[in-house]
Amino acid sequence: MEQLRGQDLKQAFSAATGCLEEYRDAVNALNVFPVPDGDTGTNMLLTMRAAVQSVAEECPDDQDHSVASVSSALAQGAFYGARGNSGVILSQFFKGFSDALADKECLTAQDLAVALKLASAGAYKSVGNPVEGTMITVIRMASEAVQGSDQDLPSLWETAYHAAREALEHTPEQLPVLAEAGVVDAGGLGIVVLIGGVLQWISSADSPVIDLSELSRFRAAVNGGGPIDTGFLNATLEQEWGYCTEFIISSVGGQDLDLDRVRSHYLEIALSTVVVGDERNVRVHIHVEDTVPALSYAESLGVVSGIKIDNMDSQNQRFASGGHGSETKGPALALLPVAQGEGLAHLFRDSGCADVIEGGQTMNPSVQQILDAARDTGAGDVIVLPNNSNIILAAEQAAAAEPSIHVVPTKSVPQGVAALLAFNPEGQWQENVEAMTAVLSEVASVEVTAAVRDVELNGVEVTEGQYIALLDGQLVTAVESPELALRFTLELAELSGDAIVSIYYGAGKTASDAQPVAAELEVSFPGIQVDLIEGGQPHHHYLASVE
Amino acid sequence: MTVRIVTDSSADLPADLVQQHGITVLPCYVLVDDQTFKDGVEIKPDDFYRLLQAEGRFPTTAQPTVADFQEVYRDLAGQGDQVLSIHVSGKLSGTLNSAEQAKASLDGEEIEIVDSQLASIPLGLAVLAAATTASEGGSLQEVAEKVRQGLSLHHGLFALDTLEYLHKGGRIGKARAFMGSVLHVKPILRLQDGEAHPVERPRNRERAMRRLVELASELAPVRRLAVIHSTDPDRMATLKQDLTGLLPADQIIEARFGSTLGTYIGPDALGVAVTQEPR
Repeated sequence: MEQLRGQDLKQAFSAATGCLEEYRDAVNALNVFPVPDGDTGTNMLLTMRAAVQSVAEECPDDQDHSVASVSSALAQGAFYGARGNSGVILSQFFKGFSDALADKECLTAQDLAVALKLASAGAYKSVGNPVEGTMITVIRMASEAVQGSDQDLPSLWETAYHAAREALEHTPEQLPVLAEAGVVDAGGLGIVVLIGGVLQWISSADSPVIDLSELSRFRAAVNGGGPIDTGFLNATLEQEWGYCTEFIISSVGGQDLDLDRVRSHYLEIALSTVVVGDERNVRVHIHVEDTVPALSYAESLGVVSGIKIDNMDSQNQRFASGGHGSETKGPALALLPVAQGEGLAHLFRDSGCADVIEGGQTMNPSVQQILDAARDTGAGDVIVLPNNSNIILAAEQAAAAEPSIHVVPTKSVPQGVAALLAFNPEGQWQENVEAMTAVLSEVASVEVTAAVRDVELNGVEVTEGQYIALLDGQLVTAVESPELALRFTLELAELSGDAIVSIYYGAGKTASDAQPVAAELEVSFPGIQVDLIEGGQPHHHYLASVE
Repeated sequence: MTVRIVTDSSADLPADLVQQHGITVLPCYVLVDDQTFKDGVEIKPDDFYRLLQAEGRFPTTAQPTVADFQEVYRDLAGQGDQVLSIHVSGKLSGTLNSAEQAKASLDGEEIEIVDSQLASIPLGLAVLAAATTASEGGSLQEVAEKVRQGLSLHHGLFALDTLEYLHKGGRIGKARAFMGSVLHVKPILRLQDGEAHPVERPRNRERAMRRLVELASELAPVRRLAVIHSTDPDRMATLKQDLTGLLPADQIIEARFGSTLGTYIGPDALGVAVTQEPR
């Protein structure tokens, strides 16, 4: 095989996604922190599914497509479907990859080398603080291995695969916390699986290409594997992007319609563009975020009829198709935090947030979810509070796509609450972001949960089922009760005389469970104030802050 | 012919200052349990707050009647004086309406009515400024013009224990952004454009007091300064002490939220009012 056509690329990445499906649990099991949160395997899989779905829509099977179209569709889908940091990095990988192939009909070996180079650069750019020993290293090593090579395409992929595999092996040496936890980097494994999956398809090998059996210090339960369940694929798909909009343009007064011109206009401003017809009637089907310019353009060409806009009630439909300027009906500035469970959702809404984004099965919402929630507030500007360090990149990616979205990089729910209390609804978004970000350094965050596996981290030995606590993201204790973990960790934080401790008790806990901890702290540190707040969060028995 | 100053009881002016400057104060009405009291005359703050806290009631208020205004205006006009009637913000109360109607019924050319766009002791400071201006002479129109122009120099910052009373009393305005019962905070509000606006949400009273001092200090230099409380004179004393950087203690006015304001502010509230030096 000398080169890949668009259809080949499409099938190769579909196959790769199928491999990731098989290894999803294995990747999830490599989470350094033994917490039920932010599973890398699931995040990368959902991101890939969004990418593949985008290709299925943009480049249907009944036609030929260039690798430019296919890779661009992959990048677009990954961008909006990105979940978690690993998902965002993956989406930027695809962005770089597709930039390299922007005018290519087919993919040759040389093209692949360039594509991987740009993909690697994209991945590094996506992270504010690149850390070696994570998935970006694996991507980089795969790219470097194929530069300046004169191998043919399948051999080049194989070289890339082996380089990635070796890089993965070395990640514990580069990142001490991996070595401590006895794992390789989860995102790195995801990359190895994806590259291996493409290689499997290209080489049409009979036996599985991906071989992790000799991967030292690799602890995982490898999934049984099997064919991809497409029903599951469809059921968990992201909501289609934008408003599905259809209409017919009819020529007027002898002014013929130029089908190609209409099509190229909508290809530029919309997704999933289908334009068919002739010089007298053109039927358009697009997905757009803002229907008004799409319909205005149509009206400039002729008579517009048969307008159908999905995801809008009929009132808004009339409004949009009337071609009037869209007015912001909502507030000037809205706050949008991410949180799990009804209890925290109630807390945030009660405290003045416009809405709350639920993270989904990995507690990490996709870029698309963030964009949708921000748009639904109807606000002129939206400040997003990720409240989890694994959601910050996705929030920033949404902010990059939509100028009215701004991010205050909160790493925990308690930080999110401190930020929200510094919010002034009458201020400009700039001053608010500044003021809210400033308070973050004044808050210490505590998270208490049950360990999902054995591990030794930060010098602390953890047995599955013990209650662990993180203080500002560092694991500090593993003990036999959540209350003990909470108290011990709060005692570690600086509880000076005028400190305010807020304890958010989770689902299954009540104020009276937390009360003894509060009482003990007030005795040990006279003068501090302890507030007990109903958080109702599902995965953390307690969240707490010290201000 | 002197210009006499008239205001209403929502100005929360201490009695000695009222007397000193010859100000006429029309009492608003407070309605508790079908009983009506004239604010400051028939019900005193201690009794009012006891009712509020002990028995968990939500009183309502009513503006002075047209007849009340007519009586006062006739009285002063009868003495040969002109009247500058300055009152609580029209967005918060119908008091101005009563005043206007009374003026209309008396063919009152000698009455000027001013919407202070303020309430409580910030209004009180505006009243004192008006009294000072009036004592410097000038026609009624000239005095009224100066008073209106100087209104933007008066500021009010309030730290409340709860927004519940403001909300139930229908006066919460823009401060509704700070409503919430899950998080325990002591919201700070300010007066702007005749109504309450949200400022910040400190976590406890100590931090709220600290912020009141910091926010007031941003308004320096200061010509007049007042501190006010509803049920905590000790905390008010501390607040006053903390503000001596802006004015000497003997020049800082001490006031109390009367029944009218108390209806909306509730117990455990503190406030600072500032009149800035004109630039």
